[in-house]
Amino acid sequence: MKTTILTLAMLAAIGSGAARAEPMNDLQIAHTAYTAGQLDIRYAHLALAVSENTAVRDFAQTMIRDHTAVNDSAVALIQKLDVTPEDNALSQALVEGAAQKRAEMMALTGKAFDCAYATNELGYHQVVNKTVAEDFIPNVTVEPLKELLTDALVTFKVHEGHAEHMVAGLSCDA
Amino acid sequence: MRRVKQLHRRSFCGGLGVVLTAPALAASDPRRHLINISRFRYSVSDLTVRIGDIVVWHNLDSAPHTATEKAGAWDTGQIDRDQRGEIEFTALGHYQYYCAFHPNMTARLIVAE
Repeated sequence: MKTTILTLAMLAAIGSGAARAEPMNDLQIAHTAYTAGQLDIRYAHLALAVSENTAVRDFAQTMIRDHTAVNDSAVALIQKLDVTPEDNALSQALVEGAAQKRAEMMALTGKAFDCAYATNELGYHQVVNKTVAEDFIPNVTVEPLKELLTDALVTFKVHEGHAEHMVAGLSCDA
Repeated sequence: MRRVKQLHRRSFCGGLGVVLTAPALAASDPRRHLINISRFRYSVSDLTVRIGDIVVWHNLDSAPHTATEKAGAWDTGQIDRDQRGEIEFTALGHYQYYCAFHPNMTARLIVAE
């Protein structure tokens, strides 16, 4: 849990620009948004491999389905615009943080895993949604990318609510 | 297109013959009802249709959705972005339905005579 909190705090700081001299450009934003989706898909595949809890498995399947759809739309837009997304510090921090978190979760089973996955999904969506809403959408300059992020944020906010419900249903504090 | 049948009504009408049923059918031609799915909401949350009508769900979201009857009577199956799912209702019924992927999305459908 400590690793998760530290990672998410770091991502929030990077995402908000606190650790950056320059704001992210459109290609960096596109790269990070796509990366965030791909990482959540990886978390979901891990959950399907480990968890036997119906609510957790349903949530994981929804994450795979929805993030795949959003990222497919992103790829279509990137191809249409004929540009190449640009790797950056925030994408790298996301990848590194997710690798650490997956390593932690792979050591868990049963309710301990379910709670770790559910809590991480809630925190992950909270941080990503805040970053998309407060940094990405206001700063992006290409209108179709702004529209895609705005549309995606609707989906991600639904996921955040769903994750909140999943955490409550698992009674992880009990 | 999927179809929800009403077997009791069909067997009852079958004994009345063509002369009686034809005018009734002509007086209520089947209609198509469009429900858009956008921002994780059905555009019509409470719809009443007539027997024989077709309901079309059109998904405008990036995320796939379904229209799935809660008790399992009917299901559009997965509807991807910019795709449509449709069901012909040939049975009377009061239905609550939801998105099987996002259960907070709910709506009501009534099939009347």
